[in-house]
Amino acid sequence: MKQNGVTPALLGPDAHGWRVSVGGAAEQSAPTLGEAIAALPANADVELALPCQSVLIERHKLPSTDRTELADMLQLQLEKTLPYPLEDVSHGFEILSQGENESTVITFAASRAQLDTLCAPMREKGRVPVRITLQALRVAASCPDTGTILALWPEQGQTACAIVSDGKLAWAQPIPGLGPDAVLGELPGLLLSAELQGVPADFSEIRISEEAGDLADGLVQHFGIPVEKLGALPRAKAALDLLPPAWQAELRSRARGDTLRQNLLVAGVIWLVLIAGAFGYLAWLKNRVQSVEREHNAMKPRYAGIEKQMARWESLAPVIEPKRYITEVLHRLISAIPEDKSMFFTSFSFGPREWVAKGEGTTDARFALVTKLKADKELDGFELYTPPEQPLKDDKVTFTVTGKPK
Amino acid sequence: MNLVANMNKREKTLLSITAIVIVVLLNFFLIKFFLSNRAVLTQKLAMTQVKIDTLKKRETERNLWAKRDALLDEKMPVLGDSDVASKEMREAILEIAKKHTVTLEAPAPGTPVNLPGHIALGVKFDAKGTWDGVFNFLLELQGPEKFTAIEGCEIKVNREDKTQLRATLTIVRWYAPK
Repeated sequence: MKQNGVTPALLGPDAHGWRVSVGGAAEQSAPTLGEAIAALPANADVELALPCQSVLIERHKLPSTDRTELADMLQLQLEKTLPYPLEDVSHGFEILSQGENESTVITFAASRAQLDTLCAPMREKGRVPVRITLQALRVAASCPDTGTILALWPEQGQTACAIVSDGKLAWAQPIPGLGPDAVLGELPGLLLSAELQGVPADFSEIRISEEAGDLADGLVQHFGIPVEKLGALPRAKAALDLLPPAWQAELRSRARGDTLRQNLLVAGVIWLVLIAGAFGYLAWLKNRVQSVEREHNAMKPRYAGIEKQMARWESLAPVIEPKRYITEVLHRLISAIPEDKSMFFTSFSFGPREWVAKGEGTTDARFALVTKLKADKELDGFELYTPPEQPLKDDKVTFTVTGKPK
Repeated sequence: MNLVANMNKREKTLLSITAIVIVVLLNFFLIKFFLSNRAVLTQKLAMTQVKIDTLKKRETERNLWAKRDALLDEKMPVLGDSDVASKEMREAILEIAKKHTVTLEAPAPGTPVNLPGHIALGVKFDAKGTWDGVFNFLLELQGPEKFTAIEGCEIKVNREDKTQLRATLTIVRWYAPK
């Protein structure tokens, strides 16, 4: 079952090595963790369940019911009881029962050095589990929520023994060896010590895994109660997570990296689509231009005659177009002189390709003249140029107006 | 991927900056390429479309231009003997000048010049007269069926008497090409 493209996977101990379950599919066994990891898909989020022998499990009765206070008290308690400095340990706890002013808790502690060694094959392959829990907690999660159950299952050459009370893991210990002799020889003593710690020992049921089937007869004889099979192990219900903070940071960083990679990939795809779209648009535009040019080229011969006639008329314009006559230009220039006569023309030259009028007057008069000439429809056959005026004495200027046929 | 994983933070920062700079530059050049090409193609398309529209408009003017061309064929003078033509032209100009009390001096007849679309035969004068006289002289010289161009004209106002003008004129008659 995939969630957001990620496949959940469970990795836990079996009788001689490790067992992998990917997305609820059939479980696979592997002799080493490295081989178990190899069986996992690249996008799997791995929850690692540790065997009992890798974790120190203790029960404590503490005078508080507040979880934060309990955590502080346990901090002090573990500093006294653990064989490692607390900063080198990943630990957690579960509240088993609470009275008016006290709580019974079970603590789990795993040495980080041991976790480093255990998970080295996994981390060498760039994989970090999303959560580290305990196989015994998965066993507890498979048991009913009422009654006291004794559970036994093999873990990597040892037999794990757990007491599950009202669906919670109340106690767990590994027993060296796998055979009935080894287990049934050690079990009474362990259960007695558990009972002395206050763990309930009046079992309503015994559950053993399929691999530990050879213990069934001995257990029935010893306890006189029926022995059931442990079913498929679900995820641990307890919130315990022994994942070291540095690994969590590594995991977060990896998740950020994955998100960034995904976002970059999406951005890259969008960018490529945009680029492809832009180039597609250019190709379409070019094609359209070529098509319009072809249409124009195809039309041209039909109008070649008219073009020739127009060109002939245009070349003869200086003699046939009254607007191009010298008198017409002179008339327009004289008509544009302001009424106050604050300017006058000093010279005028005329040719088929250009005429130039020079004059003197005030800046305002020059401005008025140029404005009127530019607005004159009769001169629209000429492009007018008015270079900057040259100042004279008495606030007057000399100026030039040039007209060139368009 | 391993190469990146083995990098320290500073190397990763440097790599990120380099990648960003490359991506920004690449985008800059791609956008520039796209915009400039789009502008060129859009302009080309608009210009060609205008040319097509102009040609389509020409269709409605076909008769007009045919009539104009026929008119030119009919009315444009044909140059026979250039000396005779030159003399006739000088005399006609002098007559018009006399009519408008414009004095023409130093006539300098030219020789026929073959130009694309016409043959030009000109004469150069120095002219003196009043504003009105010179203006009316020029007005009478040119007309749609006279095929006369003023190819060079320098008019200067007499500084001492602003009612008088001095002009250097090159008057040219255009004939149909042979």
